[in-house]
Amino acid sequence: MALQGLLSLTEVPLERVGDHLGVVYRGNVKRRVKLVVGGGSGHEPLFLGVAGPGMADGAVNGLVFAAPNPDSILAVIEETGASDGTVLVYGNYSGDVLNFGVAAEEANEKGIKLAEIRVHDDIASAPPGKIEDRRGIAGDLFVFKAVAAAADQQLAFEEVVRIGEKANLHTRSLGVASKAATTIDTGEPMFSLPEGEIEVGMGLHGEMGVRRSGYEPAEVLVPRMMGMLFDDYAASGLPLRRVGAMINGLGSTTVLELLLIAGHVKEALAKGSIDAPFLVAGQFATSLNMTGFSISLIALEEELEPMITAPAASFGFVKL
Amino acid sequence: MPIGRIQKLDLKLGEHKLDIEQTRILLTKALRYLADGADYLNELDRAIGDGDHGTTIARGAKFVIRDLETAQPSNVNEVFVLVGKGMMKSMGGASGILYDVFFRAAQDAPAITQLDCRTLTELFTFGLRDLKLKTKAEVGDKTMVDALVPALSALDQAATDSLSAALNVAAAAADKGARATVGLVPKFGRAKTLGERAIAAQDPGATSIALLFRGLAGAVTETDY
Repeated sequence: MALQGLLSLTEVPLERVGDHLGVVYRGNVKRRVKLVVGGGSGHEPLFLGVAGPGMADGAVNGLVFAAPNPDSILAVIEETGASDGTVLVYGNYSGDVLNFGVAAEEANEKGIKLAEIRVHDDIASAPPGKIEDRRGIAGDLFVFKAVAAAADQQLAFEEVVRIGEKANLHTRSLGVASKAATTIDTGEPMFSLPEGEIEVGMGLHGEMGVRRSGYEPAEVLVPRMMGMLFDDYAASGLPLRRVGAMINGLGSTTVLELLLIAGHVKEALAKGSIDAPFLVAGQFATSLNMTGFSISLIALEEELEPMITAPAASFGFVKL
Repeated sequence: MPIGRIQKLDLKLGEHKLDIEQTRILLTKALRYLADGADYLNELDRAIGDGDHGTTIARGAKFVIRDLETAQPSNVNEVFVLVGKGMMKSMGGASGILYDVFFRAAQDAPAITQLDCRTLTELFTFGLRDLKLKTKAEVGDKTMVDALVPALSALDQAATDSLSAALNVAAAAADKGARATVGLVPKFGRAKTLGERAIAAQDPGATSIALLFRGLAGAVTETDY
């Protein structure tokens, strides 16, 4: 029924693909390369809600916190009907890697040109030396955005893929939670977190973060998180002069709090003499009703900046 | 481990061989047993994942059970393939596709119309091979493979023609393998991110494999499971 609701919305017309939890947006008519994104449900507005102009051409969801199956993924790929190849972008999780991988194999057998980009932005999930082991969280949006904009510029398939991979390598995120999401089957919290403690390095599935620490006010916590992100860029040898920044609520964080965090993010960037030509706050990649937030940055070197700041519209993400 | 009663199959072909129809019933019974373990698997998954492995497995098992009711497989391999496809479609996530890979590999094995200890071992060996190829997981990585490898080598080494005896040995080995995941650092899946924090947990994936083998054993054994 939530899918029915999404299809009823008037601003971005989407079409359902068969009986799958998949949609296509047919309006990006100039594109030769199409973008298909996907992952589990429970992260709304991801993934079905980011199909639209300047965004994805196809999106496919699994059930709550479970990757979509290969049949659904393949159906959406076929429905987008790219003339010069499809770029599949999804978060780097075992389930997604396996299911998208099988769908990609089947698409290849059918002669569909295809590339996969696994978003790996969460710095808490593996050290800088093992960036490809990291999981994907809200930084997904930056990679979607870059691929979509490159496709809109009618770049060749290899170029679109290269820009998407570059966006992926330039994106870093870190999340914290103060309250776990509720398991929808049982109503129980997915993990227990004592009052007054926060979980640092949250994934997007209600799974525990990588460590726990005491409660800190935003004016202490946000600069500390920004410091961790800056250090991670430094460890990868990526200079930070201009960035795109996204403050993302995990489901139950108030808009007032997100704005407060955005203020602290902007301040931390200013202290580091870093410009942010793109800075947004909202709920982009949630984890059901988890209380918490993540901060995502993308280092905007010359080529990436116009991709991130290009206009886009969708239920889940708008860039004027 | 959850305990349930499985009505033993009426082994028309004797103790050692099942025909296509009996294979269908064997897998139905085993999947029902697996579905009954949902709460237990969820509980294990809450410690290490997102707490839904049991729910997911039960959804897959029940979907396949319904699918098998109307299916008209022309050989034993097709029954296994149907199990894999059904689980993939209805479960999604990592476990759906992994069960699919494991069961669907039967389509690459020589077609058989009778299931016995040897042919079952062969079908599952194809499954394990594909699963390892797809995931690169090995014993000790805290995955399904930790239960599958000992179960299959027990099946392989069971010097008996009795399907019941062999499956009971395999189920015990799978159970032992699943329990041995306590103390291991996960190398795959979402649990991997937890690293050392996940050491104390028993792997839900290995445990669901152990339940599957207990279900298979129970379906051909005169006892309670």
